[in-house]
Amino acid sequence: MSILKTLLSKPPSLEDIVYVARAVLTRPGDIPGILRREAAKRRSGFREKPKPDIHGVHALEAMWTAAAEADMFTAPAGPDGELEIAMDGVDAPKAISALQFASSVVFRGVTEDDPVIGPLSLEAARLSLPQRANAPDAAIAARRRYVETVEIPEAARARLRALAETEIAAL
Amino acid sequence: MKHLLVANIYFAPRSFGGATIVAEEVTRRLALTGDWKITILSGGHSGERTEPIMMRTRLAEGLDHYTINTGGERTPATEFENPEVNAEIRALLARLQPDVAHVHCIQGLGVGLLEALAEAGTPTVLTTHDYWWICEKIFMLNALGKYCGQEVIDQKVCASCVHTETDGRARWVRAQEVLRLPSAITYPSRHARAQYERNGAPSDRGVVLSNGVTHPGPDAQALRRAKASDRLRFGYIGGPGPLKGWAMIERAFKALDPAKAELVLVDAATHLSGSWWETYDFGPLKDFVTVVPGYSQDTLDEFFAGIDVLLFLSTWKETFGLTAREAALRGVHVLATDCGAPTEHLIDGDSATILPGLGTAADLRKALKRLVDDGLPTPSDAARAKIAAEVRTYDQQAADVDALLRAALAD
Repeated sequence: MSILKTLLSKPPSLEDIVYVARAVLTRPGDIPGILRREAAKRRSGFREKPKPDIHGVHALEAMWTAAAEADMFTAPAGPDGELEIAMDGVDAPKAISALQFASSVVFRGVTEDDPVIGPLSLEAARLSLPQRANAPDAAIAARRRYVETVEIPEAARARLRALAETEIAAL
Repeated sequence: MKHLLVANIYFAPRSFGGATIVAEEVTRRLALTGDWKITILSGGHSGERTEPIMMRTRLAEGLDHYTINTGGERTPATEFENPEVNAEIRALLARLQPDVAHVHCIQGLGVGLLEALAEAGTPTVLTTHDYWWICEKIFMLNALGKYCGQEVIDQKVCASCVHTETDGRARWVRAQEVLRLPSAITYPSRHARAQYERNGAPSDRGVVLSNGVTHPGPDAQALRRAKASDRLRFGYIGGPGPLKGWAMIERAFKALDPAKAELVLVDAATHLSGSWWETYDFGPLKDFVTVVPGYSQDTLDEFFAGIDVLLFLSTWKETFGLTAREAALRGVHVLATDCGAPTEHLIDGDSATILPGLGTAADLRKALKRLVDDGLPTPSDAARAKIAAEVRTYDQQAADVDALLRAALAD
């Protein structure tokens, strides 16, 4: 009964109801676990919903956080040759994966309001990759802006601030 | 120099859980021999995008660590095997071409890793840490969070517990196939080996290889004396879920006097940039509770110096029980449920207080009051000798793993 009281202490949202209904139909064995988890969330207080991961860079942010806390932030360049990334229509997760093996990177089609040049160029800097871009100043400005707005602990932000000043050569 | 690939669900810089500590400590010692070039592979789960993202960190020892991250909703099926992750693994193995692999917990990476290694002709030593290979719930806890108690697992019993019955049966068949691929399968206790081999794991390649434990440093006892307290301090390392007995603790602790007892909670979730306790409403327990951040292997002595009793109240039959061994080595009394391997090195009423079965709040309350009112028993010479004999070092474990890897290469 106490679990029911806890669950009813905050009414479910429409999203919660749809989620549970889908679980009832597709995986009924999980229902007790789902109810216990919801009760635990209510006992401990709801967290704010994280902002949506539109560009697929949250994984990178999580890794930066852990690496900064453990003081193993940078890594050397990879064994492959130069990687060329066209920013128009870039798939950020694929680009992140490719950066891990590159020995240098070229960013083409950079504009100052591109939402992913900041994290991609920072990751390239973290991996010690020499960088070139069609608009180096725009890329550096985007990096600086991203560093100040990303939701990340201060220890990681301090590391990213240093990387944001890494040189980018012009194409 | 041979190239060794080490795979585990987590690895530094994101360390979490007993299995990860073991994987890290053994790997570091293997690296120090100078005989192995080592690369690490782990899994990650951040963000909402489901496609795998590869990320690389360079560890302090100069080892490359690759993480395959997948986001979005997790299901037991995708944790067990994910075709997209399999493709990333194959691509990475084609680049790295390791000579041999040491595989630990691979939730999230999936069983496809062992198949990919076998197809590449890479011999593998699999080190088990839990029951993931024979139980979708990993720890043999049923849908109500209770230990299911099966010795010979019956899929009909599991049907009400697993994600879907069809997936559960398919998972069982697949796990039995893949368990035949490693050259050797190690288990952290006799208890764990028996459970696995009763349930189809091949017995011709099983070996009990007890995990090492970080032994106390030379200043450990001086630290304990310096941190002595007027209150009896009970340490708990776990979250508010059912696994480690939190529900029992919440009910039983209220009967004590906060002037005489303290509950020290380790927030190990801080290792993953989270928190178990930050917003928890402790209610009547708040006068007892002190929350401390997750400790590391470097700060182990300091943590145990700050408690008098370790609460090890697992509600399942554990395969090993790292913290129970760490505590016993440092002279910390262990108050445990009868949870399998973690009590193998302990003597009830001496180095430990062992509750009957998997414990109840009433039994815990009685045990807590007895310890607070009567004080802690002084461990006997026999209890100390048993701990010293049965709790191994990481050096010993790494030497055994080294031998198994060399044997796998020689086959």
